[in-house]
Amino acid sequence: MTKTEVLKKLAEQLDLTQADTEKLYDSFVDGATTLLAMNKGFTLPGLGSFHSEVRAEHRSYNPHYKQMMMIPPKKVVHFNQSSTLKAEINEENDEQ
Amino acid sequence: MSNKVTYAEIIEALSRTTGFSKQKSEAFAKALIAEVKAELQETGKASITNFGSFKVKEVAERQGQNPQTGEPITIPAHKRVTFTPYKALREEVNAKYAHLESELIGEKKEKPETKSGAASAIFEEEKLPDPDLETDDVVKEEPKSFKRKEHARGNNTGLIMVAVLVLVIVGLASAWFLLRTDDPAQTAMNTSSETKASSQNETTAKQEPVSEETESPQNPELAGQTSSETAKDGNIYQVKEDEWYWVISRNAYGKAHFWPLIFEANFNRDTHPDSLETGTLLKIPALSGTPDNLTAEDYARLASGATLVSSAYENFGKLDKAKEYARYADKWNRNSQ
Repeated sequence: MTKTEVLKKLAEQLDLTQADTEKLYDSFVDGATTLLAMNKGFTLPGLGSFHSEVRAEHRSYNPHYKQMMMIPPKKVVHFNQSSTLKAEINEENDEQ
Repeated sequence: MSNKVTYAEIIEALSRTTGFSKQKSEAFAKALIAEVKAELQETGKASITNFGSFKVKEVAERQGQNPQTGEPITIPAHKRVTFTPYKALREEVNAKYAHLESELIGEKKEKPETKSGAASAIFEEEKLPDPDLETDDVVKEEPKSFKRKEHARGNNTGLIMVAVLVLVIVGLASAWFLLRTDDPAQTAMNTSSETKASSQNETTAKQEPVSEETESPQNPELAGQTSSETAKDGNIYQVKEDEWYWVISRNAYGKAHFWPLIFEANFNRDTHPDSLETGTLLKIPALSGTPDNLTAEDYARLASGATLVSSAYENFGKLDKAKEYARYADKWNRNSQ
């Protein structure tokens, strides 16, 4: 589903114009990104929690050079599914 | 946790930046989350543009153990939702570390301890002699003839042909100089040729090794009997664990790509350039210029080093790498003229 489709649907549900919905959407994504960049985690109820972590410098084998390489530290986003989402997803699994 | 932001705070911030009421903002967030969930249920995939995508993954049944009792349990097959951040988010989050790059730290493979007889003879002897005793008179005659042999063997490509030609010229010129020094009557003339050679020093790179030879006090007998290739002002370096030519070259010169110099001073084309054993003693040839301001002589040596590396790679069937270093050799050759 594309962003426009999502916006259209949300705009209908919320009784807002699509432009307004897009504004909300963009600032929501922007805020979430900024939070993660600032090392702040957050939870979206019913979906899961996000947080960022520094992955430490480590050695790893590079198959191209066939050698060990030192991989520099990197900050990455982690996601944890919420228990409700987990239950819902697996419930659906059982039904099928 | 202190570094967590609550949902209420997010909604508040959202309503502040957009100017909508908190209720509207919360309704939006809820609707968005519901949308993502519904899509995950339906298609197993969902995405938030510019943020990331969610995907339902199947997890196979596996054995685990109860962390409290240590009792083995079977975790049944289930599904879980994974999140993949998009590039925009990834880069934003990683901005602080974005400049870092991974680097080669060494070799896990066993290095074949020099294959050719001649090479191993030189290799063993080079560890024995005291660098102070052998000094500079040992000179470069030995490595040069040695080098020429190597190149003569691998003259498949036109580039190497050119290199061989250059080396033959250099070899003939140096032989001529050696003959002259043998004759004591010619000593006076030799000094004059020395000055001539050093004046050529700046102009022609090809003559470079020759002039270097004449500058150092010649002792043909010593040069003949010993096969040690102690480089001029060279340092001996012992390879530490997981170190590779790049690392050593960077430590020695500040430039990782000068490593063919080290390779050339120590090995021949029968040594695999991607192998280096811990504890090997390496000679680190000194540059006549500075790493940032190379002389024509340095470029010529870099070029011949790269040619050697190229032919060594070719020898081991690594044609793409051979081509790459042939290009380097070409470039440095042009710089040396």
